[in-house]
Amino acid sequence: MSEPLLEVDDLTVQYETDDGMLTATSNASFSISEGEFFGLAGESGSGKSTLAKAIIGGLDDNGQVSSGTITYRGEEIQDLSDKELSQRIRWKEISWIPQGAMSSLDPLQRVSEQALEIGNVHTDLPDEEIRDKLKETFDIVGLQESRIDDYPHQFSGGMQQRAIIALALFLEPELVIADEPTTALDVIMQDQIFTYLDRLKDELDISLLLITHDISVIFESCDSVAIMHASQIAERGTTDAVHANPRHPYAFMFKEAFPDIREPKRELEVIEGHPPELMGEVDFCSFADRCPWAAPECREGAPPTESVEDGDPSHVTACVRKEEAYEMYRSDASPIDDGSGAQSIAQMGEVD
Amino acid sequence: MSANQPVLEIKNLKKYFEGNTDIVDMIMRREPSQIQAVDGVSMTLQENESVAVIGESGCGKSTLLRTLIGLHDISAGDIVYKGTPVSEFDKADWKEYRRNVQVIFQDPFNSLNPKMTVRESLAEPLDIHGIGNKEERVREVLEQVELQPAEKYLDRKPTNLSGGEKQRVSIGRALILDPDVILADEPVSMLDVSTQAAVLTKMKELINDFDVSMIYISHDLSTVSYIAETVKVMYLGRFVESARTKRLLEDPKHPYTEALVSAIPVPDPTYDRERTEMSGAPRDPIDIGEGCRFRDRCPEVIPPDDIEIDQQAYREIMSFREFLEREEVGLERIEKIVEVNERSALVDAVQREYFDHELTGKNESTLRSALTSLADGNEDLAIERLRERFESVCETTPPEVEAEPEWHVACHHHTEIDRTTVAGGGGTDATGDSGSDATGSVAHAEHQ
Amino acid sequence: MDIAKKVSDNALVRAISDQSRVKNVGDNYIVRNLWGGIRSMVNDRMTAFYFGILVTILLMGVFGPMLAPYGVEEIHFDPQTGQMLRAEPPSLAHPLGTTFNGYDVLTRLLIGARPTVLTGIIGGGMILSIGTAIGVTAGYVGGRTETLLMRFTDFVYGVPLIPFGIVLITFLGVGFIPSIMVIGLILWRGAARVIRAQTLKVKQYPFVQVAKASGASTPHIIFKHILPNVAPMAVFFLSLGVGYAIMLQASLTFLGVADPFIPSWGVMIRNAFNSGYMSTAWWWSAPPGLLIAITVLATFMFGRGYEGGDSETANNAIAA
Repeated sequence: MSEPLLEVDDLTVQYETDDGMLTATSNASFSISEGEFFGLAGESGSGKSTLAKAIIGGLDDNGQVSSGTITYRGEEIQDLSDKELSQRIRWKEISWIPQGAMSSLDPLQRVSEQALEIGNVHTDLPDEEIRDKLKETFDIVGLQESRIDDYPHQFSGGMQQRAIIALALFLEPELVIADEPTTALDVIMQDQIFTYLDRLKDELDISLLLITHDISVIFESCDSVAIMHASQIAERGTTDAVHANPRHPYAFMFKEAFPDIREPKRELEVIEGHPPELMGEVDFCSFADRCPWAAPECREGAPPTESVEDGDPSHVTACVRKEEAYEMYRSDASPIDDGSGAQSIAQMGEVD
Repeated sequence: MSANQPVLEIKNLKKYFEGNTDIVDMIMRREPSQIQAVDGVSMTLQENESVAVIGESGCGKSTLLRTLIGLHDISAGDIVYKGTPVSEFDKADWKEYRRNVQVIFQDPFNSLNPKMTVRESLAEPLDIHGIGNKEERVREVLEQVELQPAEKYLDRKPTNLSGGEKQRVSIGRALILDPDVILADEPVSMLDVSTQAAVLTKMKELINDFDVSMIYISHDLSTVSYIAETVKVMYLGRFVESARTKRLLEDPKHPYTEALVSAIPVPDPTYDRERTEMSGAPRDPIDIGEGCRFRDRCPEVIPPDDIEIDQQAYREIMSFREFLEREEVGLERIEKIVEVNERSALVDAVQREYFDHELTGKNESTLRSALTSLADGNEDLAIERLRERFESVCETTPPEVEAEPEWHVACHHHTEIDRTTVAGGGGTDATGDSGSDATGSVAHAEHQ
Repeated sequence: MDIAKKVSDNALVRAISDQSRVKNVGDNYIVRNLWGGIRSMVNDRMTAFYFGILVTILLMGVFGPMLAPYGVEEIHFDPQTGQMLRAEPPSLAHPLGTTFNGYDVLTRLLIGARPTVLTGIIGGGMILSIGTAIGVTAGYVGGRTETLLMRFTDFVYGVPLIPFGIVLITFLGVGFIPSIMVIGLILWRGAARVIRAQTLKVKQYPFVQVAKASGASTPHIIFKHILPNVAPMAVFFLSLGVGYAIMLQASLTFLGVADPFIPSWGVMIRNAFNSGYMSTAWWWSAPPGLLIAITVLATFMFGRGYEGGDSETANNAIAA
């Protein structure tokens, strides 16, 4: 593995509210290397979007990084001022496709004008050069270079999305953060977008931090994954390892909650309740109240992050009962699932 | 099954909306443009049957549902409820229909009146239909949708419920009148996965327990198998394929269904799924005339028998002609870019912009001559030239045929008619007035 | 739905000691929503403050005449000289001084509270009820009815208030009630427009569609679903209307449209102005002016508080 491009270490982000400090992410750590596609998965309320905002310094006014570091290419960036981030990091190094952006170009501005606006804020490049860069990016996402001066309405829906990707990429960032880029889009559209993102990976060697609730998309498109539950990272590792040997109860339950079109009759996992809102320090496992295998020690301290020891050195999980829970889950699951659940687990074993 | 009277029968249902007209249109007495949201849909719903209607946003599935619950007037066709057509309903029939056909909407956050408690929301349908014993029924239903103990929920307002709980209340409200039919519009699409499965299975269970039939509308093929035995795929106002869910997922026949199934992500990093090759999005269903609705995106559009052409190159020609017919070719813009004021330069530029794939021989020369006419300003001649050589059978409406038992497909690839005669005969009337011809063939297929 | 009713509900709920009856009244759907709205509003300290001011002014309207130290038309004379106390500055006997005609200012202020409050309530109530009726009907029924009602609203927008007032009093005569009618019959137009827009929005919500699909009658939908959800907006317009009505009546008084013998605060200012003592006898003109300003401000702020406090819960549900 090469030098990490982005390293998030022990990061805690809190929001000041009327009722006290609301903890959105608690002691989260992960790293993204160059050219890596990293997926951050979790339900709504897991803190995944907050994490992304913290990286590019886009937290709301009442939010703050309480502890921990964000290191980009060896430099700590969590304390940089807004101005510094804008001039040096945003867009040139890390660009951001916010939630819902896939249908939100400014209808009154030509695409090139929107690019110039971004370019002028974040770089000193002359306009002509910015336009050239946009043209190159247009070419990569499969749009005609001559169309950079079109208005958004002159593009079809799919083309608009490609234009948005081009706008996120034309200043050649190293890392793109995409927050639910395809939520609310139809599957075919979603697939088209990932086709372009795949191509960017091949042609530009960019890294991607993909934030989504849809773990299927992450399993398909990403190299590594972190699964978050109510501020804590429950499990993290390569997608292959996490898929084959999930150890945190939230990780395997969450994974099994997703339908797989190859097994249309498999029983879907149900996770009761919803992620809690956490005030102050989170010194317990945030999943304990929803976990069928929770024990008293789960509430006695934040679970330490430990290696799963399945051959993937990056595969870690934060569960004090990681072995027992998984054993119990497997033995529980097989009789109820009339074989199909057991079968899928058996398949997973083979894969590894 | 066919001996029983179906609960609901939809006969060639159409719902058109009028497009916006401005004052100029009114003065010119132009016909308002028609948005063909639902354009000739037929299906039957038997007792205890669950049918799913699947399609992308904008395919008309929600309009279909709203028309079924009487929120829209019918433009053409009819809905028959237990033998009585809606068009002949009197007031009492409507009341009866509204009592027996209930709806669950997609958005749990706005499906419940924020000012009403759970008890009031659930009791409302009972109030409307003057049914007593409310408190008991409400508690019973809460138990059935697993919101227990009832006391905990009765006096809550929607703000104090999670998304999943809200949707359970919505389901309870739909069931409280003991209806015959439930129409569900993407009831789980806005829920987190952790609750999605629970709500789906609960719905399925209740539908079985209550002996209810259901039409389930969704964009998500991956969860359909949990709720419906039969699935119908809708594209731009029409059903393109319908079959048993499991079989359809395994072996989709219509090219659109194929694309839809293949685009579903598989939660498995070791599984190497091919990305979709389809480009673009469905067009707007405004005055779209006849023909296969999918032909502009179809990866298997059928070229005339007598020409040899690469599929992708052929598609480009097809969509280019479509652009021409809809007057959407940006000739002026290209003219500006070209700078050199020469016809051949313009022709080259247009070709570069709209065509990525190589053409050869007669195909190439036909295209060049059409583009030349276009550069001369004669669009009609350009269209005519292209049509003459490249007209496809897909420009006529494909009839819905039974490809296998209980498996209907509306695609010319599955039609057993002589292609050459249709293509030859369609030469002059394929632009828009081929309606009579095409609907004729649909009617024909229905008689089979 | 106007303030008087709300407050009486409120008082009623508090006054009745019988627990079960409290429960019954409080359980009524509409009462509960109003009551809940006020409660959530009073939780906000600023709104509670304005609410307090409003209640005080209301109490002044109710009990003011009883508290007045002198008669309203009692002319005061200097006990020593026997001369009429014309525009005397404040003294112990007359804490707010006297008017040009020798009336006690404090007395007139306390007695004038009632017509002022009445103006606010009736004027605001007319604006609210006409505006809501037209807005909700147009928005919900739609079609030709909507076109007709909204064209009528546009027409009323074109009617200039003051000339209309002058025309109207030629039919109704100068008086207290006609001056309120002028206000009520014109100023509902803004409320009608906004409430129609709000109705169009609420009408689209799935819960309305579901009710419609399960056979609910139009009145049922309007009373159970539309009105409670446009209520925050309606209450906001009520408070605007109360403020406008009081202010406009003061202006109408200047024109001589209102009855100068019913000593509302507006009339007091007019009398001060007409006497030519407006600026010298500040104790005469300033208190009613200040009170009008405070009343109007308090109703505005209170209305905003209701809108904010209540729609917060509703909007959260919608945004979540």
